[in-house]
Amino acid sequence: MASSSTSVVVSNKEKENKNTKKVTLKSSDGESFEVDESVAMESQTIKHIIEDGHYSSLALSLSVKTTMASSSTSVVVSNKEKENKNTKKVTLKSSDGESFEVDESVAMESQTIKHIIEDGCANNEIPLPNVTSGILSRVIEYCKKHKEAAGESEPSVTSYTSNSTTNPLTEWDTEFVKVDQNTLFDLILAANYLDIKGLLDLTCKTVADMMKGKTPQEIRETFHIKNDYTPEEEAEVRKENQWAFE
Amino acid sequence: MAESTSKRLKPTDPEEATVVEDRISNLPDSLLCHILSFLTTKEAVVTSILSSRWTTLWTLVPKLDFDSNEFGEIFSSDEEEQSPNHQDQWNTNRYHFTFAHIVSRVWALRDRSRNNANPIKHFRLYWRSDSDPIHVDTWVRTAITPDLEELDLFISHPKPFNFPSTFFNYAKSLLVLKLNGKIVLNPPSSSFGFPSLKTVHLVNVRFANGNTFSKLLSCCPVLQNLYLQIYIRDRDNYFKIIVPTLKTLHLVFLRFWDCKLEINAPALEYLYCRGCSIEDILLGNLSNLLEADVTVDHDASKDYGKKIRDFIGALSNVKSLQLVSNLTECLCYATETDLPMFHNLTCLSIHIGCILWDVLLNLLHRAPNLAVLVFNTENVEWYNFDEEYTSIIVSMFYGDVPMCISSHLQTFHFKGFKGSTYELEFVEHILKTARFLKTMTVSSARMNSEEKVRVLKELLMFPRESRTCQVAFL
Repeated sequence: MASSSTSVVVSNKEKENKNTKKVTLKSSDGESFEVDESVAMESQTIKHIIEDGHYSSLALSLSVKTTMASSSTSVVVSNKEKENKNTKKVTLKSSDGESFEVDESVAMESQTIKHIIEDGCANNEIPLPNVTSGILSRVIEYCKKHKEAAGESEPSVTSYTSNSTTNPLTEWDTEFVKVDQNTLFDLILAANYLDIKGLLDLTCKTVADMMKGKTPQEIRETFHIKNDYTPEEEAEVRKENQWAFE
Repeated sequence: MAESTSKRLKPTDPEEATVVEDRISNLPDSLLCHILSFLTTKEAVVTSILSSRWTTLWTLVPKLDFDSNEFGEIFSSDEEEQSPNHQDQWNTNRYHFTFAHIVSRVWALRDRSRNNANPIKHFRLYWRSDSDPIHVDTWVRTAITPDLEELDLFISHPKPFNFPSTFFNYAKSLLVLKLNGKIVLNPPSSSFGFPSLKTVHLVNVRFANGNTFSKLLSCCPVLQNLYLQIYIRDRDNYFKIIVPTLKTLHLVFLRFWDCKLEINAPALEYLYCRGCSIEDILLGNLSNLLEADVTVDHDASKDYGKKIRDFIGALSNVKSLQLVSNLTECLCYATETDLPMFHNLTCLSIHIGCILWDVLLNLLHRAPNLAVLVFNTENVEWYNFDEEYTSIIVSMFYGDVPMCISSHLQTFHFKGFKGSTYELEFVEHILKTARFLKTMTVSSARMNSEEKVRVLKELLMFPRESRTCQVAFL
């Protein structure tokens, strides 16, 4: 068998079959063998790949001596992700139990989720106990939009054909953050927890813009901040930073 | 001091029926600092008065942003400049703050609160004054630490400012460098490097000697964005931009003397270039270039032949091209110019100084996939050769209609429309032959609304090959 075996790739067909979990092994000369997972796991190599839970397109080169159920010689495990129209999905579950299925690439806009997936702990459903469904759906919307925009390779024609120099994505972002304060702060916390830099910067900048040009009292009113300084304390703080209050 | 200022008013509270919560003060320090980092330092310091939670938050922000514009009337750098007369204008109980005082105070209070455990990562200073820049020197030196990631200086002063050369050896974490003003860069002769520096903006800076610029570039192994606006004061200048990692390049030369320019940046995706002469510019391999917005200076009496061909040829892979008047004139005057094919060109904006329709035709033939065409004749003086132009246009469209017009063109925008006969002919022919045209926009700064209405009516009457085409007049 030592022969020509080269790469080993496993495809995961579990979702499509109801009872027995099967895997498809594809030999180097293109023949596919569908076997029960338990059978395939006779191979420790394949067993480890399956247990890891996520199949990247890594090819493992090894020479395989096999006594698999079928007469396969060298096995080539093909990555079935590619057959599913190139999209691998993950499911995100909000704190209130709602599930959202998204493309893996979109979910990976969140560094937190990216690490979970890369560590192989995903099992395709990732619980997010700190994020409610309402906020999670918005976050997903943001990630989808930004992932799409990043994928576009056509240069923007708006700079030539209109007088405005605004990037259409910037306009979308501006609309995206036109929400009530509660939602805005929830988005900040979610972006922080999920480690999505673009969303965190956008939401924080929005709050900062709400503070610009306002007097301290106006800022307090906007955010319902209670002034807990005694008059003496306040005067002292004001004096220490007097230059800023002129 | 109270830990939290979250306040929930009870629904039965007679003053407010709704539950109102101070969510912002409940955010963790790190998030509040992130929010404050989008404010200038002055705005951030103001938050100290909001409540006890906010007293020292501003000192946690790893960014200092001072803009002398924010300090208006009270701004001056030297104590001596505050004459008694000046003081009378103000309430005599108020302390007179100089800019120097303010910046020093802020540095000091930051350090007091955190014992230097909170280094500045981003330092921005906008300073415009006639007085001695000694303070600026102090602050820049204080800011230059191994933690500094972004430095943004604008210094406007009658005399040149010598940038501390400790910078070159000390600011190892720098990601972004922006210098604007009469700042003299004089790097040490020993080797130095900026292993993380990705973005450099240099506006009006001065280089201590001819090698400084090249030396600086060679010490930035991951440089991606270069923005350069330079006065060329001396003769025999040679700017070599040889940066394998460079993605965007924005160049403006303001010249008193000629200056040679060589660009060797195979990873370049965006190029903006003004102020160089076609004779002095050498473009290397630009096969990854996506967008170019270029013009070159030229001597109208010369024929640049090969030079033009090489220049345009280097740009032939772009998806989007903006040609400004001088360059198109160059093209017009060049006699034997074999234009390359622009296979990837989907968006072309062409600003015509003098128009030679056969050059335009030539260009259109070379861009088979063009989807967006912007034709800009604003600020152009036309000679009244309507007849001549008309016959050329006719031959243009009855002969070999350029493939891009018949099979790809989706958007056409004619800027600077004057309503003359041949302009209308041109538009008419485009409408007749562009099968996939979606929008035809005509805009004019010079026509009054009556004329606009008349022209629009005429435009709307023209038969359109593309049934989905919309015509608009801006």
